[in-house]
Amino acid sequence: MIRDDMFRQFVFGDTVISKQPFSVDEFTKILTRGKDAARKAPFVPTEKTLELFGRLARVWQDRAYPKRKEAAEALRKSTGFSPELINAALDKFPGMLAPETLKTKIEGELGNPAILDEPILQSSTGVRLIFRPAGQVLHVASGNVFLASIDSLIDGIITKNINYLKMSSEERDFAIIFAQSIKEFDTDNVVVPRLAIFWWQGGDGNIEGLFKQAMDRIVFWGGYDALLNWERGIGEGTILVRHGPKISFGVISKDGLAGANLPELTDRMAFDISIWEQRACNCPQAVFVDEAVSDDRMKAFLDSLAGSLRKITAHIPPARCSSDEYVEILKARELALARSIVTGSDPHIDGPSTLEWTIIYNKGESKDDGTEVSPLNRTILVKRYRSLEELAELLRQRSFYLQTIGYCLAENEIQDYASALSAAGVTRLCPFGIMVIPTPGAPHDGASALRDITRTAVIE
Amino acid sequence: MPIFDDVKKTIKRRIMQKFFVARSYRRKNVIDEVITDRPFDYSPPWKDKFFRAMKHSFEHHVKLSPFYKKLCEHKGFSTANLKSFDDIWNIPFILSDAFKAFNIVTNTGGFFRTDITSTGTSGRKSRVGLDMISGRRLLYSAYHIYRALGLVDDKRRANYLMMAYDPDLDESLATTNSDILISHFAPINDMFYALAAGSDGKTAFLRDDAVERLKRFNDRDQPVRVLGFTHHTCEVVTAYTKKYGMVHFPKGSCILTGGGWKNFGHLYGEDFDPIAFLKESTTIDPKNVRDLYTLSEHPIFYLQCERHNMHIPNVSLACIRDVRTLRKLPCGEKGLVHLYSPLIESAPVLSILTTDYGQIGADCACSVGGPFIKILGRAGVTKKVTCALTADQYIKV
Repeated sequence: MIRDDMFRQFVFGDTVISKQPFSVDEFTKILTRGKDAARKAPFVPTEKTLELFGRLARVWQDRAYPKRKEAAEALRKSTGFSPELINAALDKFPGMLAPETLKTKIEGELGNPAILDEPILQSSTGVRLIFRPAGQVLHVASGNVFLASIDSLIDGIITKNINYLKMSSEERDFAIIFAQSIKEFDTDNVVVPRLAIFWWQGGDGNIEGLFKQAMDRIVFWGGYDALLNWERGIGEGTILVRHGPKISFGVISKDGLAGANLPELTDRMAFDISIWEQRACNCPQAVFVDEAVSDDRMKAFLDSLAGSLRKITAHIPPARCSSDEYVEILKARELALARSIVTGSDPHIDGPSTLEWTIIYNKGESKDDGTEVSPLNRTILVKRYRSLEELAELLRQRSFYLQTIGYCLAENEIQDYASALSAAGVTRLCPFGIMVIPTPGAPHDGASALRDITRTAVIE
Repeated sequence: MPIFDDVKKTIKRRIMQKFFVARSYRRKNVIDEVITDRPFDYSPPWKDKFFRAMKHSFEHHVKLSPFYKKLCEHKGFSTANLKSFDDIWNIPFILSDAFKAFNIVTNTGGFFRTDITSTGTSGRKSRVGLDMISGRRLLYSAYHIYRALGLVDDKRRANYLMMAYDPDLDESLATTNSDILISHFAPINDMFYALAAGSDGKTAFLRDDAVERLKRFNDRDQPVRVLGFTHHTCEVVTAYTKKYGMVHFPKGSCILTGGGWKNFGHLYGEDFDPIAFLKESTTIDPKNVRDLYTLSEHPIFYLQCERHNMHIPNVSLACIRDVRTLRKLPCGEKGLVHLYSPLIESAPVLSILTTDYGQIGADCACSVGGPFIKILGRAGVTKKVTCALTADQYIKV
């Protein structure tokens, strides 16, 4: 056990317990070591790395594995997520580590599982390609979804980079516990000497200035202010890979809803809404329903969604929120009520008085409010749209920030919606229920994560 | 029509001064009964008067405000639910932020004297219509509050340094109206507005001019009254000390601050104590440095006593609500500030749930009496570290 005022960092295999972040001098030395490692160390065969992840996947499947138990407890304290949600997420974690998943990812993103080790012939051009590590990569983690930063780290490891991870202020344990777990099984020392995990207060110009100059890539996950901060003063040789802030929505057409099994549809939506408390960029904040859907069908849909949210909340209790977060939900509810009175529409604000989940539907919503954001924490805004063209135009206003659209559409509508909404800026469309479970090997935020942290060499 | 606007502003100003100078007004109904020259007297007859005033106010707004009528219907509350004093706590509230988003009024049919508008520190401004009778009630209640707290001096003329917007810029800001009002609690000898039209005609903070004017005021044998925004007061004092050293205020001077801190508080850090700062940089008696809490949606004055506690005047009620359950919390616990007052007739602001955190205290050692309120900052939007686009980011992008 470490004291509350102390935290752990991990430097190329050594766990360091600190009260303060490393100084600029200490970071300079660490980065020099990293640079040497990037230059000297031979590239580890991908197969060997995947074997290591295979061992890790097996032990992390076991709920009694001490590191998993330690992680669950630490995450419960730091994130406020319920134990049920944390366990559900940790149950999925071994799947992320499984060699089959990682092979699919490499093949999906780079074209061939062997392309990180040897030149592979590209049949269309007749040239051979090999993907080499970018060099030194810093992953800047956000505190909302603890698996996202680990996923980013795994990408860095399988692409043979020297990886640094800056932990978020909210969550400073999981990455360290995972690194210690890697060390436990990395008997050949293939990963550990190329991995360091730190924390410092975000915005520290001196420390961040070092990384902005020394890194080949900085993979950023997080919010707007932090993103602006990382963009400022970035080195000429450093590329910033931006993930966030992003927003996701749902869309339900008349024909899609007509053909849907309501309880099944709303259960899937409730899963997307609840599983990361909407704190992940791929969780829906609002759902647009075709205006052609009749009032009766709409009411049935809203009632079913309420039932599904009630059901999932019983199984996976909501996260502990801050006072400010509760106030935001309260504000959303009260302003929605005021708006419905002003517009003369019937207010539909559903949810327990204890704010565990909320459905806000305003039929008389003005067009300008179409991309209004949710206060998160299981608060779903339900809106109407008149036509696909109008919806696409509305979303285009936030084009850069768009990410996933969950859909309930008739089979023959998917192509048209995909075409119009992707043109508006949406980078992923998927059925409800898998919004928060991206397909391994598929691009994220409109780009390939592995390509972002590698260099392609062409052999002609 | 600029000429018409100028005339209108002048008339408004004169009406306001006239209200104040008259110091008596015709009582209209039971609501006026709660405005007395003992604004912190909570003896038993008050309770009955206040209940009757709130009930009258509730009926008035339900009758004349379609918005409030629908809100009460939605929340299942009617006059039948208002049987005793304790039922006041259940009167349906309007969230203060709703006045930023919508124009919510009560159709009194009377002459609308002015709108009071918030400074818009959170991005959007509140607008609350104020009619003649409501404005007069506020003026008289404020006068009694300031007098009870020892800040009215009818005899000595004072020089006013206003850290506030010149009314010629925008008279309808709540802070401007408050400042105009407060500037009548001692006869005006001279007055200078630090937030006024600059050389380019645009609103500017005339810091250096304010420093010079303060120097001139301090050289006279008359009290100085510094009124307005805390941040601008600190700025002028800092600039003054750099140029002239310690600020030597004439005897009887006071600094009455309020408003605008939300925009600037972060510049000073969490530990910054304006009173300690002013004590170090000036000769002002800390007892004469008073802060004020008021809202455009609830323009009652919560003014600090000599011990710097904001006493709740008996023209209003305040309680603290749990942010999640909205349960009324006991003294000392932190939550959302919920304010009640029957004084305003032209907008349904009789029960306002604010988005400010606060706590209620009951045992101030001063002689004023009654409970007091401590404001602990703005609730809501925080900088969340998440890759999901959040409300605070939405405002920026």
